[in-house]
Amino acid sequence: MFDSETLKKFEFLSIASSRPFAGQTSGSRRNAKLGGGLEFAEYRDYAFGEDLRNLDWNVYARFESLYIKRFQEEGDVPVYCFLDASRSMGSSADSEKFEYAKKVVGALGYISLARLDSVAAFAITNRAEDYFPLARGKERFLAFARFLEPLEPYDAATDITSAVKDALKKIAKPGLAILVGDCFDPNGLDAALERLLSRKFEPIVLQIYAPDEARPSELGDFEFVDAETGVTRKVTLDERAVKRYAKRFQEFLKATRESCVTRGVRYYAAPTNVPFDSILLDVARDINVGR
Amino acid sequence: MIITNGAALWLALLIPVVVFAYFIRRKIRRRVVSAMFLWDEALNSALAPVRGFRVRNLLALILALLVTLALITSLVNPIVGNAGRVGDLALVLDNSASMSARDANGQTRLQNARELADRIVANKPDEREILVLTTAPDVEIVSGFSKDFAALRRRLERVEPSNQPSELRAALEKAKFFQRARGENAKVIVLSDFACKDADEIVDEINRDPALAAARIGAPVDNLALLNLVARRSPNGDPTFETLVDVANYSDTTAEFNVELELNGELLDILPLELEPNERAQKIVLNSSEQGGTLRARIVPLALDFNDASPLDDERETTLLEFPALKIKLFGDRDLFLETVLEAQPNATVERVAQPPQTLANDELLIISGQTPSEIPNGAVAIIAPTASCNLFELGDEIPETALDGEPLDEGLARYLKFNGQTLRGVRKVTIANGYETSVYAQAPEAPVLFEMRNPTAQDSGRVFVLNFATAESDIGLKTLFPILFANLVGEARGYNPDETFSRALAAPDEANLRRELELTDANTELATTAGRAPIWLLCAAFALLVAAVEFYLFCRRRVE
Repeated sequence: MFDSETLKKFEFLSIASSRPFAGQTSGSRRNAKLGGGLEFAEYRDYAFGEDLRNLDWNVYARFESLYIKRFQEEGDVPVYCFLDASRSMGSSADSEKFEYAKKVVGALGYISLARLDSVAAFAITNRAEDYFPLARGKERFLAFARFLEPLEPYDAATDITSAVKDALKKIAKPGLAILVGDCFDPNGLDAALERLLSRKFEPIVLQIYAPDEARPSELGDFEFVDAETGVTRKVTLDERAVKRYAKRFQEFLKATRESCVTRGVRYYAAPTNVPFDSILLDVARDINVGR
Repeated sequence: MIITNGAALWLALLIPVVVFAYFIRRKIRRRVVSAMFLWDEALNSALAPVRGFRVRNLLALILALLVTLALITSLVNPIVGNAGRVGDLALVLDNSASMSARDANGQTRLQNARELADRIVANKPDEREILVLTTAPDVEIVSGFSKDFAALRRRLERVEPSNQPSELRAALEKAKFFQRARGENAKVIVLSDFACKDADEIVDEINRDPALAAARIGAPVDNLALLNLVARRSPNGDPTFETLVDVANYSDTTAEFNVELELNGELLDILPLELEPNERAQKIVLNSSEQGGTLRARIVPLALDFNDASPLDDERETTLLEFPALKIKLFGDRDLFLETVLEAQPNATVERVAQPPQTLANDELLIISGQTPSEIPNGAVAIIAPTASCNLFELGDEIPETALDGEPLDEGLARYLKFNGQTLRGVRKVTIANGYETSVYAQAPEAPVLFEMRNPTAQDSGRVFVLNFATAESDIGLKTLFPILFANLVGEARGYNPDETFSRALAAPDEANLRRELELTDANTELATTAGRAPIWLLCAAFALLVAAVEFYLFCRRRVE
């Protein structure tokens, strides 16, 4: 899926989360739990029976009161990748959109595994079609890649809300929920994002589209077939029609972005003519590179 | 209707190609789109009936076929109406001096006429034959009746502007002769500005005769013309010249201009002139020069904005012959009066000789007075009052007193001399030797008084002038004419005729008047121009362009159905 040079680049990246999550094991991120980490969190009154090793003796010497010094526990963050595998993802030339999305998900998975985070992935359509369970450790990337490689768009329409609802049934702990797809859902993303946020997930949206979808280059008479529904339209494309469609497409991108931004969800638009690693750099821009 | 380019009909084969291309284009490409809902929203589409889609495409086919047909028609170039019924043409192309005038489009009239002729030739039907005549300096057949389009055009291109007057009348007659030989549909078309002699009569004839048509080339324009430049020696023997400048203003405004005279490229004189509209004036410049050479006169308008249409008639050139030197040798009795008169002759030297020379050079004149030798040398010789016979003539008895029989000729020795009625003494009867030609300028009843002899068979024999009377003994009236007589003698000996003028008339006055009013009927002009008009092809081409534009507009307006 990636050559070694690319993977080496990814090792310096990390996917930012705006708040700590409670992971399963120790990792490189602040955890929601307080405990045995290195970073000071708070003081608390000593209770009988607690480990005396946690007492702050300096405080006791000054105030003659017993306080327990607490530290932020460091752990992993569960990263859930939702890969849109509906028919619309395979509608562009040579399924470039889906291949692009798979590369992005693969890269995100590698970055997370390299940072000792745990990664799970879902191929979604109008439900969760396939599932890669939470895994941790860089050595699991091979299995993760083997899950992604054979994936093809499913013969099903897009319904992100239903798909997320279905996927959440398989998830025990909240974490980063990265949605990678074209978001061509007539019902929009709002319900899906609300559901994720209500379940304490931090969603990130990567909207992928082909340049030809943004502005078709061919003119003439066409019979359009909707990739999702199979509905057909006879269309004569002229410059004017193309202009109107291109304008509507930009409005659609803008609406998706606003839907995300108003909920504090990070949003990235990713045309397939932009190298996917530059999208990843955008996603990881606020990460401590080389940490 | 006549098709001028039948070969273009092969292009009709394009029609099935267009239809075929339409059906290829008609095939709708199938394309999978990710989000039909975006297309629906963008184009406000509601599914239109498929029938409408077909009709609109049929419209595209019809428009494409219309464009093709219009283009083919344009290339076939049919001629309709009167022009189509015209048979062979005799084309009279005026290439006279006036056709060098520039019109408002910056081209000369000849260029404009040639373009019209070119159009007539270019748009002729295949079977029509065209004859081309030009009018200056003489009527010339540039091309006999020919169908060969390329050859006709080549010959038209070779028509050169002339600086001579138009022989339009003669050209028209010749064209009519050829036209009559070609049947009733044949026509004569005249392309001229009608700045020529008898223009009104020619236009009348064209208006009356249905076989004739004409297009007037060029609008009326202003013109200043130097109609004539004439120079001559002063008649009194003065070696200077008198120059006549003849100018005209053919415009509707007063023209101020200079006439600059140059001799051998050096400015000699400037005549400031002001002429009213249509005024013609002659000015004489006296004592212009003693030198010979090339005298050039040129009109220079003073107002910068004066539109002098024809530059060709603004300049004239004439050649002034040199006044040759003469050596006069006097032999015989001494006559002081005669010597004084001869010494007064310009550019002449007088020498007395004891014996008459055996030969005379070309610039020598021997004057024999009183003693007539038996052998007269070859060359220019004047014998005054011969006393004895010689090889040229035999003298007879003297006539005591006589007078002229009638008036002397006003030429040669007797130019400007009026001495009939004068008493002449010493006149002797003369018998001319055989073989000599004699010109008698003044004749008494029994003998010639002033005559000239020339032996036409002897190559080196000069002119011999004989004054057969005693000048000293004749009346005083004759003596007053004596200097004139000897000026004539010296002039004749030099071979110089004071009346001789040297002028190159570049254009006739008729050619210079470019504002002439003509009553050429519109029907004539139309026939002349429609014979060469391209009425259909241009319209068809414009129509094709229009339909193509409509098709493009409709293409841009097409919507999703």
